[in-house]
Amino acid sequence: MNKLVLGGFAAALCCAPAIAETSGPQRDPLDPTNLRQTARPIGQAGSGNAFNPAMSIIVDGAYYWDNVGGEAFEIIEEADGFAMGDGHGHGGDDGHGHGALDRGFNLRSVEMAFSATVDPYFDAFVMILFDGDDVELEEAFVTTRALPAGLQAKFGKFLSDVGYINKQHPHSWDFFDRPLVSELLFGEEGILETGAQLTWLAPTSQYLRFGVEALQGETGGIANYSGAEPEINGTSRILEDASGPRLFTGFAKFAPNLGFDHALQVGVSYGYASSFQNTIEHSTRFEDQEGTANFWGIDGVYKYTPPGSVGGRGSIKLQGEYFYRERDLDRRDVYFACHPAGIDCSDPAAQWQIGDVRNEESFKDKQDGYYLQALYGLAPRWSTGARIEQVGLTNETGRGSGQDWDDSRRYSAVLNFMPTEFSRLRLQYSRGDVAVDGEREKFNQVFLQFQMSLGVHGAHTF
Amino acid sequence: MRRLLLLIILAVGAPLPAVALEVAATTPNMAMLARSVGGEHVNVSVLAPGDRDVHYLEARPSMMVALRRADLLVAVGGELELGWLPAAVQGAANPRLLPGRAGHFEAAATVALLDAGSPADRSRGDVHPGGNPHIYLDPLRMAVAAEALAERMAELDPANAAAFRQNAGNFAARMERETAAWRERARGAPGALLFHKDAVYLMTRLEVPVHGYLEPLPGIPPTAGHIQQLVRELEGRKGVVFHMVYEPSRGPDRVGRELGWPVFRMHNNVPPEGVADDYVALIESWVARLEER
Repeated sequence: MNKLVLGGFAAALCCAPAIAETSGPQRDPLDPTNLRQTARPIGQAGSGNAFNPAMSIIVDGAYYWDNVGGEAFEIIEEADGFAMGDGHGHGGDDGHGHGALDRGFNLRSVEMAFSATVDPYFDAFVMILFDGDDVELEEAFVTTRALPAGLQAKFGKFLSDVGYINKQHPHSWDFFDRPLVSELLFGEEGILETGAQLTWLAPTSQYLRFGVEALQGETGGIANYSGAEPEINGTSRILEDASGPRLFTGFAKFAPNLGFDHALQVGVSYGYASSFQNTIEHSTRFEDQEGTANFWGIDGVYKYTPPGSVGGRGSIKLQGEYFYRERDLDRRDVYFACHPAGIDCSDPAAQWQIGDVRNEESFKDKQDGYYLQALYGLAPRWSTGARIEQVGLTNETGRGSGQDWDDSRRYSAVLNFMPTEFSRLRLQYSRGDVAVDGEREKFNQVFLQFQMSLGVHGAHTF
Repeated sequence: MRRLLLLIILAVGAPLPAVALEVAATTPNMAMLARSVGGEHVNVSVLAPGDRDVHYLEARPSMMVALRRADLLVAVGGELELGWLPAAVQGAANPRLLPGRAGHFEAAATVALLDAGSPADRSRGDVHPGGNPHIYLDPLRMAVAAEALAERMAELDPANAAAFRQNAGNFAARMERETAAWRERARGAPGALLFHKDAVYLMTRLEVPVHGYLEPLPGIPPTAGHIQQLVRELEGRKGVVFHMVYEPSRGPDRVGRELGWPVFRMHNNVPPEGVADDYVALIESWVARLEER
């Protein structure tokens, strides 16, 4: 900024004399009314406040209703094939998940975001999230500013850039909730990890960007990690410590030049988790699973803005993603109590003793899902949209004798009203059709959401 | 997978060789300024067309492509492009264009702004406490910005410094000459009702009174109550109503009908390939509407 002001001065100093020669020594004919930028009065922008990070607060709340006693989120968590561990649900014993709402009024989150340039070399971003009761660090990362040749590095805790929606915060979504494919294949926060990222924007005449990430590996659906567990009565467990990073991803994004009215971006991504660990605690034994996992996906977004569009009227946005996940696991169960449960270990009827090993097997899980959504600018400040989702087109779990599960679906319609770019009201209806233990569980959900953004308004990314 | 990547790489072609100073301009007006000053020594690309509201754009991949290659970014500045330019510059991974570097030029930072120091209170709408950024509709402020831009280009390409200064001087002299004539023609115009607080720069330069704004607050679309109030206040007076191509015509049409004022749908930018002649034609189009009365 200072440099710009100085630049203005330099311009004034260098060029004014040439003109001044013909029209008097003091007066600048181009600037009869002091058009040129003048220095700021001292104290107007002191370092005390000028160096503060840019701050914004996003308040996100909703009135929520469903026709299954508020259990719709639990039903989704128990979708056949995707429920953690053995492929079918356990009656929601973990209580409410991250995205679950109560029927009635909910404050989903209050996000506080801070961003600043650290020094000539780094930009930093920190986002803290209050979700009613808990405060958690959502993101905290630094990005390089000065790397040459289109390279950019990022490190800290951040949302992975795989796919399209993964790196967006909930307030940027066009629907209230995260797509099922993202929630069920990765986790309720998508892939949110601590690690490092390197991207390269190729110097081509059309947009082409490549990126790789090395992440610690803690995301439930793809890189669940527990570490070594102690021996039981001299029997070791197959879970072992594995140092991070344990999750590696790569992605490429391509966007052809389609002029000012159309924009298209397509992406491919791949990820590999060197360690996937999971333990299911049964009444007398731990079922340990350990192995690797990988995923690949494609994503695309297309936007059309008619020339001279007023407030987004007539604009179209199409968006979709597909992901396929495979887990390659070894299983070994170890008894921590004598079996059947409650029996005395010296009882000859005890089939299994503490430390006994059972169910040694190797298997693969293969699952996928997609969503497709469209948004249309109805009128200035109003938009409407629809989304279809399906998970488990391929839905094979290999545990035991293996099983091929049914798919789950959800259909949503949305109406958005944005009074200004700082506030938004949204009405969404969703119809869920989820397979749980072979049955079709159907439900209706209604969300009436309000979102307010206070402070600095962050720039819109594509 | 590998074959797909190979195809993509082949499809997008080889990197372009840089011969002249590569300039990325945010709007066609800024591109016009860069062409006027840079002449044959610059290659100019435009990030956004002039037929939509520059407040509400979003960072697009095609912008990042242009910014990735650019030696110089020429923006209006004054937070006008705040909603998308920072993200586009960040996504372009081109450190030369970061704020504070020689490759980052904001025209609004080189001139004095109207309404500078207004309260930073969003209940007053989408305000810019640093001042009204819409300087591109004042030919004399553009003249000052051209000279500052010449110095910036000279810093980046010293070999052609004399040409840049010469071009900027010519542009400034032309603006000065034309403005004198425009002021003459607009003298006595009864005044204008604007949609947004943008063409106020041109009206002030032409000494044509601004009777008000269709937006009750910056960034808030006209309401029925506000339109009624405008009509009540301006009843019996003379004037014209201006709105930009991307602004809804319903409010302006209604005020025009009730007051008996002509309503004009205006451009605020030259065409994307525009040069100084187009800018002169753009300002002429405004002056002509004021002249008609």
